[in-house]
Amino acid sequence: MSYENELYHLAREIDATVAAVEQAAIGAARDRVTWTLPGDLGSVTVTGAGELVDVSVAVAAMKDYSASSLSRQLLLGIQRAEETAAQRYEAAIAAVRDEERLV
Amino acid sequence: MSLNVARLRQQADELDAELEQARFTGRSTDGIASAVVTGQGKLVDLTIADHVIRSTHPQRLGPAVIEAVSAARREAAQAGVAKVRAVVDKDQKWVPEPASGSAPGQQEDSIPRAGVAAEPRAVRRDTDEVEEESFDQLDFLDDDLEDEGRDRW
Repeated sequence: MSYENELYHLAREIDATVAAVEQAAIGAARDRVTWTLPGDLGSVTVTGAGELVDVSVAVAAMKDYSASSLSRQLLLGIQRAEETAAQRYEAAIAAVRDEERLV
Repeated sequence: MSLNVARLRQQADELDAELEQARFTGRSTDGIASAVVTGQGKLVDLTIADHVIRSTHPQRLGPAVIEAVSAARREAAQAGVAKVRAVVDKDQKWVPEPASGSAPGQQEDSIPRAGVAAEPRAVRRDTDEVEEESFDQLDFLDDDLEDEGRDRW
């Protein structure tokens, strides 16, 4: 195979790999992670891109909390959901990277 | 023009550290929730108003939390984008925030108000902005057409 041909196929391979990683990133960003709050308090949902999209709080359970403890529970819930989403996002990209044997 | 990669990387690291220390606050319009994020958008604090627990509309809490977090992140993003642009745009200069006596994790105004974008203080243009009227905006035909009392084609 000539040098030019080799370069051409290498470029094609890189294009395909970049496209695969981009697709994985798009899919992972759309995935949602829902974190259940303790004590049937509710749940928070974030996307793989880290966007907070839903906070559901059970009105009945809410009455058992003070404003500060409710704030703390929601803060922890959002943080955990975002950490989980970020890990999943990284894992999705890593899976494609490993499959394509990228460094 | 040569690109100083090492310098660029150093500035990026310094900017990253600066954004990690910066704090931006967002509030829901009804005042129920208030959120604080870092310059990188990481949620570090959330405060819910006392009265919401026993209010007649507790279901407003969820949307209020989302609104407060989004507002804080929007503020952080605006400030961050301006600073990043200053690093990569060679027409602008970026210098790290001076180390002040304030505690880590706090800016001069430790809790900036929502709606007041943190000014990219270190961003400045080297060249004076010259206001020029674009020829695209000028209509050379209008006067003639009115004089002649006819419409355009």
